[in-house]
Amino acid sequence: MFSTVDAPSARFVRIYLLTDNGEIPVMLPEGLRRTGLAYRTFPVESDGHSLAHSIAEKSWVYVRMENAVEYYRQLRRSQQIGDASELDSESDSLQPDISQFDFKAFKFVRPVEHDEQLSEQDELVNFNSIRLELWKYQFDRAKQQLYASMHQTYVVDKTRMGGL
Amino acid sequence: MNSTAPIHNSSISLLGGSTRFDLVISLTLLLLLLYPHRYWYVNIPLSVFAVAGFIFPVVRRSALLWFLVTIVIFIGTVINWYALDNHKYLLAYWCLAVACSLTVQNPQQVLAISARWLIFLVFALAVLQKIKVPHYLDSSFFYYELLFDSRFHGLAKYLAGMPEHMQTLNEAARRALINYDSLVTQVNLESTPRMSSVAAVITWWNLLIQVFIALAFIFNNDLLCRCRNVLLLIFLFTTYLFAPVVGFGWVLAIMGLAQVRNTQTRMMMCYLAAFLFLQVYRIPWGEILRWATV
Repeated sequence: MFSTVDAPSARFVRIYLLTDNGEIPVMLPEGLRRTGLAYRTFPVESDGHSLAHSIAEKSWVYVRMENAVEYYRQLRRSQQIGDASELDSESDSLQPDISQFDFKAFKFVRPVEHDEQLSEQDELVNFNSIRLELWKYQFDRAKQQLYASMHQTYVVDKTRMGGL
Repeated sequence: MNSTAPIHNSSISLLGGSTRFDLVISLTLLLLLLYPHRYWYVNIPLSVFAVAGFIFPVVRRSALLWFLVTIVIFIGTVINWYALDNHKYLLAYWCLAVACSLTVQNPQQVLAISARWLIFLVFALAVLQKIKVPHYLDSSFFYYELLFDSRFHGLAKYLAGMPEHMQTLNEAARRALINYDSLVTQVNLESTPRMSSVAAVITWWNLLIQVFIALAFIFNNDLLCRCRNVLLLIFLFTTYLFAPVVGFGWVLAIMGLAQVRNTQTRMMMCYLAAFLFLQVYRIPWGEILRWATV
């Protein structure tokens, strides 16, 4: 009903992968958006727990960011297309414009897709458990503020989940 | 369908002599076609039913078609209950009412009764909800809407004097609060001195007109019968000017048209005008005004 601030858009989830080195905040995986919206619309505990379980069941990897020119160069090498001299001359003309950019400095994580094949370069996130929090913000008109408070929290221990 | 009531003589020339019942169900088909569900398994069957109904009058007057339409909408509604706007539920009930009316001798009369009760329930429940929730009557809700709902940005700008950079700042504050990696638990918002008054006017206007509509549609005497259409039309012409949820407006306009007495031809024409004007309201007047004044 069009009468209250307390709507699904004012409820949000915060999700953390808990590792030995600290917590990593992550976004709700694309495949769980629908479940997440249903949970935010009608937040019952069983749905929150099930959502947290689904997130913990997933494997997470660090996002690999690399220079597009470098990637292309490696791909051509690995597929051995063209002779060596051609590749070298082409490589020379493919100097990245922003070679100083340190892609490795950025650490993002993402869930591994259902049928995704990971390469050797992909680094899995070694997490022990996940924590899912449901937050809700309210509008304080007198103070002209939005303030958020946590309403539900679920911790799922990955090591205690079967089959993982 | 010989029992369907024809539109009063003065309107027949304008509407090509169609019966009101026919007009109502045709407009409902148009609504299904132009404002479909976003889900293909609802959208595609409804488009097929609507097109078939437009081409073949016998199909659009068949109870079977309307029961199928109802079933498809209900399936879409049940599966996606958490993501649908209120009026999609109302549309499902309305299509069920059309289907049921086609199983009786006098469909126009049955549809008129259904329309009247549905309109009453929509407004009565809306009023109850507004009274029940803690922050509606103190106008906090509309204050919040003026700050954040893009549909009200024109009102916030021209009536409350809120500049665009404030709207951008407030939205940025909200995003900072809800972002997945945020640790922030409160953000300050920007507003203008006139915002409170504008919010209070909208709040009470919205509540009072809905109370009056609910009252006018529950009692069935001559005076209220005349008032109810005027009230509903005022609601349609004013509310959707600022919040152009055309799907909802169209359902209400169609139901309004369905319950008008046969002698109230002017009201019928007003409902049809509302049906058309709701489209005109979608024109981005704010942007045009901005462009024209640059």
